[in-house]
Amino acid sequence: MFMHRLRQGAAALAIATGLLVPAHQVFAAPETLTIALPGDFPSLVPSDDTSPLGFNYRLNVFDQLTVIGKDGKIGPRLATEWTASDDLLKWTFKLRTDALFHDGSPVTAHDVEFTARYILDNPKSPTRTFLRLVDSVKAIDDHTIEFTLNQPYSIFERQISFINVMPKDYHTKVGEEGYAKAPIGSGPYKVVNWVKDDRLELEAFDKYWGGAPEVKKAVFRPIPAEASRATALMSGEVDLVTTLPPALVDTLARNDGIEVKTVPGSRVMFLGFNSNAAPLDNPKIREAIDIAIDREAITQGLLRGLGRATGMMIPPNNVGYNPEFVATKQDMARAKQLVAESGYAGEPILFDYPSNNFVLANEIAQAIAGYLTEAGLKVELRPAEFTAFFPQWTQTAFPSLYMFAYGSTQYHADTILTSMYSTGGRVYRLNPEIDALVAEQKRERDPVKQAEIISRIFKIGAEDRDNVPLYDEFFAVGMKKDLGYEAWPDGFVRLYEFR
Amino acid sequence: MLYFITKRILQSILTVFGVVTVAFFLVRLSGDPSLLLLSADATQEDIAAIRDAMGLNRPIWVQYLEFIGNALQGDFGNSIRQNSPAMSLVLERVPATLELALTSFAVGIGLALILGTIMRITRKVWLREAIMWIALARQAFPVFSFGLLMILVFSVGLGWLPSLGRGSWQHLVLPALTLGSYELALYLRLFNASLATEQRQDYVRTAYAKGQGRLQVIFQHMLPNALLPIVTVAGINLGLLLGGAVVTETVFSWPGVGRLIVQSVSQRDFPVIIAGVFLLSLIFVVINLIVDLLYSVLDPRVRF
Repeated sequence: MFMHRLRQGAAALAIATGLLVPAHQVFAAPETLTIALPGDFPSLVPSDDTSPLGFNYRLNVFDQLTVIGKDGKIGPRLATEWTASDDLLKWTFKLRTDALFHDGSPVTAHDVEFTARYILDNPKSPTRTFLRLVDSVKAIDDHTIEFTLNQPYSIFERQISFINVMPKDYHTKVGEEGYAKAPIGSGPYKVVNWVKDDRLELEAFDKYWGGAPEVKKAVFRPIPAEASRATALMSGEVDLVTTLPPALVDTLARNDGIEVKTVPGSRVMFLGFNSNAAPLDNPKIREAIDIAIDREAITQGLLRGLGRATGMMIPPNNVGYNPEFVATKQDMARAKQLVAESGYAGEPILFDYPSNNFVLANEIAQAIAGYLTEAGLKVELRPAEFTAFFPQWTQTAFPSLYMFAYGSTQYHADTILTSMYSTGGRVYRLNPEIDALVAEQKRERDPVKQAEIISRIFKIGAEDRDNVPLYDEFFAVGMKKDLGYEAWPDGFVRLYEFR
Repeated sequence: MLYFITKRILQSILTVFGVVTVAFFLVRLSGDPSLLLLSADATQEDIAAIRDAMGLNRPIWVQYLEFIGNALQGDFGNSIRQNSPAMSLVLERVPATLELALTSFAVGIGLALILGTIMRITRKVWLREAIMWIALARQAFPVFSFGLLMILVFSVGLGWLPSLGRGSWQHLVLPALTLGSYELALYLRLFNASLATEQRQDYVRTAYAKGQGRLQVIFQHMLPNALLPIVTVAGINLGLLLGGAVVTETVFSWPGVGRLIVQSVSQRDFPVIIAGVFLLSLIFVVINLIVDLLYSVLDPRVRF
């Protein structure tokens, strides 16, 4: 118990000082590993699925050209090196020559070309989002692939890491339906058996170019009920649970054979404003909302440490993070004064938020509503089930105030800037200055200059207060003692990391 | 009889048709699968393109007519999430659901008959009270908490039985007990009340007068007659067990139809939802029909 506290304390210290866990942690590898997930994979065809849950499958069974590391840096996977033309329109990737698909055939540039074309030609594929800037793709030779973009994009190398390479010959031979039943990739694990909603069994691919993985057999088990995931860990039926609710953290940590770790996540919880509509079109009211909230009370009191108050819309592990953006401190007196000055007439502020998929979403929304009420605002809580909430978010359909958490799977500020700050994203009040800057950082090749532009945009955003960041999400991982697993900020399990 | 059966079958078809139509419009109006399919950083153009490809931009009545046309030929469309026919996805889960529902059904009825008969035979008031209390206490527990309690005792504490998934008979024990014992109190009350009613009947008095023993009267004469109301309720319950086992399937991570439908609702996977709803309503209606027919077998006085 003491060691556990010590470790948690050390982790908190490391986070507080901005240190990150080493990129390649070494774990003791069990022979078989059973992992509890909240649901099953929608599909085993990588071009059919963009769900976060599916990363647990795709990262292990498939290779991508590049890979984003735990520290947010981009690194090689199937591609050993790559270059972009000066105008950032032509991207050329050199592939490694020793990669094999699970059927033993070599991975070539033709497979990459096939995969990209297959996705681009299929309007129903949700992964087209990741290739939307691709104008054309061409295999130059067996191990060189070239992408031509329709607009400059300095971090295309990150976006391409979401494309999972499928084998051209095999796919052509078995067809779409055959491939869905028996998918193969070139990743460190092969699919052995999939019983929908019960288990997905994977087996180590001994001929993987990166060496045979140490964990020989892995089983993903979809367990929809939070409490059942916890009891499965207690009974020893699973070895690892990737997300635990805060209420169960203490109970599980008291259990002798179980270790619980708190890990910084990749999303930031924020409040969004429809600044076009009264009363939130009034900057004084937006400011009053910002400073009325006690972020420390929420992260420490409600979330019990599963969050860190923040002043930026991206977490520290993202490219573009700038520690100079500090969390707003609560100042209730000033908030009340602002409301009084604003000419607010007591019209209700509708507060939309997703009631599931977020840790303690209801409690946090209620706490915020409490602060706003104290400041003199009238708030009407409007919880919605996530699947009803999310489309409203995508279509910028909220009438006034909303709460949401969002993070970049690219570990880069660009995702957030594109989807939440510039025209075409989930933006209520368009700002041509921000649009220009966002486009500029996409073209900028120098990381230092790019970071400067990013900070400038966030600075404008912080002054406009169209979004107000609340806290970085943390999550709790439960595992068998001695497993020593170090979770990634995104929470996805890379089985090949066990060494 | 033939007239009755024909009429009931026609009614059943109409019911299923109505249920499917309501389900179609409800799910269509409640959300958009394309937005849930795309990643969070998809642009408005991405959304428009995928909606177009999925045919969601057409008027809803056109989509409905097309759906009905195809459904009449047995084609419920392809799942939006998984690239395979919706109906086959649902049918894949049917064995798991049937297994759980029928076992739970047998557990529930079996326990009710055994305990109910004991309550009738025994002269010990405390035993009668105890059985009823246990059954009521069980029903007072929500399925979810009772399931967790079973897991904590038998999987975590004693380590006897698995807490999740499907496979061996051991996997079936906890979910079947959880689901099957839920209606125990209801069955017991019903069974008791109906035994008590039979007790006052003339034929029982006659049997006693002929010198038959108490047990013989109960088993030979009263029991078959007392079963009638149980059959009615149990039949409806079997339908509920098939479609309403969602909570049990969730606690025990049982890969059944209920969980598939709930999951599909959260993803707005229309074809799968509708295929599932169709199948469940069909089963429900068929069971009701069978119950009606069973009536005439159990009680020859019932004639249609």
